[in-house]
Amino acid sequence: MAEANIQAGGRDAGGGLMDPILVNDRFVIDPAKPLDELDSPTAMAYAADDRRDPRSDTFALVCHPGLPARVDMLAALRGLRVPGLLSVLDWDVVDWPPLGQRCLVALMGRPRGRRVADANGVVHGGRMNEYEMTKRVIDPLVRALDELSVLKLTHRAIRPDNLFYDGEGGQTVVLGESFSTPAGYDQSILFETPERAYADPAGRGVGKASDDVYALGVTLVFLLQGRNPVAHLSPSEFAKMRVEQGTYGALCGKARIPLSLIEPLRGMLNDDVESRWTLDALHQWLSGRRLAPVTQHGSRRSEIGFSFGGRDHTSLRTLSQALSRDVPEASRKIRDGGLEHWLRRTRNDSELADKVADTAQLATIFPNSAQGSDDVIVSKVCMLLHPQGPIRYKGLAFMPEAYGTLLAHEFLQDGGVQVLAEAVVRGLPAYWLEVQDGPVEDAMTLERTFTQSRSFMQVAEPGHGIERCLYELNLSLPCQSPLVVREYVTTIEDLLPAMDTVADRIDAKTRPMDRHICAFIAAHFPQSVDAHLAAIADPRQDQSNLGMLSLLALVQWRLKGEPLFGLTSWVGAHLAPVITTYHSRSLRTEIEREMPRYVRQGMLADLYDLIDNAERRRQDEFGYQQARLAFEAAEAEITGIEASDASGFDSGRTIGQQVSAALSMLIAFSAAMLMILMRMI
Amino acid sequence: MAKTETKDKISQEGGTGTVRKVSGGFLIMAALVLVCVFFTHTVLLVGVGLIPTFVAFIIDRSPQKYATLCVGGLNISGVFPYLLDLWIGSNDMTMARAIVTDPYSLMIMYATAGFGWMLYLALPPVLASILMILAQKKVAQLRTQQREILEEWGDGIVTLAHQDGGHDAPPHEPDRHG
Repeated sequence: MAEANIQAGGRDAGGGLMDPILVNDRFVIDPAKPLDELDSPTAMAYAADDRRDPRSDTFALVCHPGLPARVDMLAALRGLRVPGLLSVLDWDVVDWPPLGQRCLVALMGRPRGRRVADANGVVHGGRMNEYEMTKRVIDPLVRALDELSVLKLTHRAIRPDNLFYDGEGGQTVVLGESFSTPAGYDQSILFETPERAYADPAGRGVGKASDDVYALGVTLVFLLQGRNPVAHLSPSEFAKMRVEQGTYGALCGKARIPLSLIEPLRGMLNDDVESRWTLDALHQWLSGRRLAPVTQHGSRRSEIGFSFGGRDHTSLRTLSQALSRDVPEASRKIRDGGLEHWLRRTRNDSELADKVADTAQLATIFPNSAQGSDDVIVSKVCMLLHPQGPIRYKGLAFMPEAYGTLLAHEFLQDGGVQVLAEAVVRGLPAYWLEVQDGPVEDAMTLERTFTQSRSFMQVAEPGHGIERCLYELNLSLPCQSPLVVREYVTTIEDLLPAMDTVADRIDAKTRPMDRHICAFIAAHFPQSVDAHLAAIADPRQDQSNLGMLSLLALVQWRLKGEPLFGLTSWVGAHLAPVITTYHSRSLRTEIEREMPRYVRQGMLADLYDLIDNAERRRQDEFGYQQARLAFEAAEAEITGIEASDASGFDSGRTIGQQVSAALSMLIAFSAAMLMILMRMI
Repeated sequence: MAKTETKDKISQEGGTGTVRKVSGGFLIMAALVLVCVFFTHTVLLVGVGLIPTFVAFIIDRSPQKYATLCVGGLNISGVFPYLLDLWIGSNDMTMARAIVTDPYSLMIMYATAGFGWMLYLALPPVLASILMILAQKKVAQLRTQQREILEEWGDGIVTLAHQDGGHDAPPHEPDRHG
């Protein structure tokens, strides 16, 4: 954590002076010294010093808080020296004055040389020859990918402008960082496989080593030619050419590729993932073994194209992409059987034609439901046509594994969260798994993930819904509650302290709980909090506030947190409705009198015990019932007395007459006895 | 045959009841005659002295005859001293006549009867008023108790009481605790 101010520096977002920032008592970042040459597309580099090793070259990379970072990757690489990869010395979340909020900062070893290429792919120093290519580039980068593979990580940001010269005399090349953005986010579609290239940048997924191998192959072509060989083509033109000629053909064309590199490049750039070279194959090639030649060709195409969007599509891959861009027209073509007819007659693919026909029939079976809507029909047909491609729905395209990342990205960018929720509720990811030709790695995990997400989304109560999916699928994503978003809370342990900090500056009338905090706790807390969430969802204010207190108290108690005076006071300000649930006024007064003492202790569990003590509740309820009975008895007695008022006087007279008669008889008897006695004496 | 037997039984039973009533009244009448014959002087004194009681008996239309009991009791206490004088004295008709013709004696006997009337007329209203005051005091005490319950336990009590009994709620202070 940022702890101390070292010396005066630059200026913050408000124009004030910025002090250097100490990270983990070791690194000092100077916000006044940006290092533009080390910037990533979305992360800014700043000068930093390692107080433990002053001679080392380090720099800090400040991640943009509006993008979901790959924290799992950072955590795995922290402190490791991975050959061929810029080292991650440390990372933390610190107050970052230029943005006025807390940000993720990584401390990295500084490369000794400059970038290999600029952002346009133009290689500094011109094209590389085949000899330096193998030794300076392929060997270290394959080693890096190997290490990442051991850590079950993929790089997903291999491109010429993310390579740096490093090593003795800056002779070897190392990979730059890839954790500041979602996997593949900053990649041009040139560096993405034909499957993932159609996905949105945040929806490309972490992929596999084969995706890194493919990007490495494209990068090598850039380095060999010293520039982007297809810079003159638009993305759609390149996509078309890639379909027609395959990636190798599209990129290399008639360019002169050194003979020794033709085979590895053909292997790495193979569009068929099953035939693409693996890291093992690259190792073998580096060790001098010759592998079986790879035949490179484009995807299967039909002679007569399917006319759509002003173009004849001979490839299902480009056709599915075109269909997803014009849903109403695509739906019309699907419903009128045009597409089915083309598949059956022209491509002789009856099986696929039948599937498309079955999907089109959904529209007639469910004419007014979402399952039969144009968007769902077209999305499913796109998946049928291009099973390895992304899920395309309402303008979004994502690989199933990237669903969580895209969800986080859309949340942070205020994008199409609703569309993503709909996609899951409509069962599109499950359909994607269904239409895959072969076995899918992690299919069970994906299926379980989407089943769980769907169940969360179908519950609207706090702690569920799309927010719960967000945190379940992105455990390292900071809590997005407006209350604590600036505190960059990524762990449950940091949540309550952050709320305690916020409590000092927020209006106490603001409720210290919202859907994001509920979902964050539910996703991160080691035990089920469903009962607490149900209480929070209660429409009665008192029950909801009591649920809020119980949930926060549970978190503080279970995590053995420090006293939180600000938060306890903040929560206490919302407990008036809870206190009024006690029937006894004197008990309420007593609790109100006791509350300040408990707030000063800062323990939410104690406050909860004061507010909702079971024995006290029982006694209060018992007393209330007794009082009710006493009130009713009094009321009945009063009613009886008042009802007898009308005849009261008459009955009084009657009683009086009886008394008179009795008195008279008594006097007579007494007088007689007295006189008899007197006579006898 | 059967009908004839039944009729005979009924006539026999009815005849027996009439015989019993007649014989009972006869015995009382006989006893009264004997009393009048053998205790003529006592009967004279009681008959004259208890005239107010007989009058009260006649004019008292209530089934309980409280006025008769009230007047009679005190009337008897006024007659009883003279009755003792008679029985302890010569116990003859002369003495009985002397007593019933003595204005002072008559005044004593009738005054006690008058006191009985006063008791009968004055005591019931007074007693009724006292009972009314006690009832009102009890109602006030119960209202106070209800008010204290409301102050401690809130309006919910009233709602429940209304649901259960539908009685009017007593006046209470406004709920300051919401």
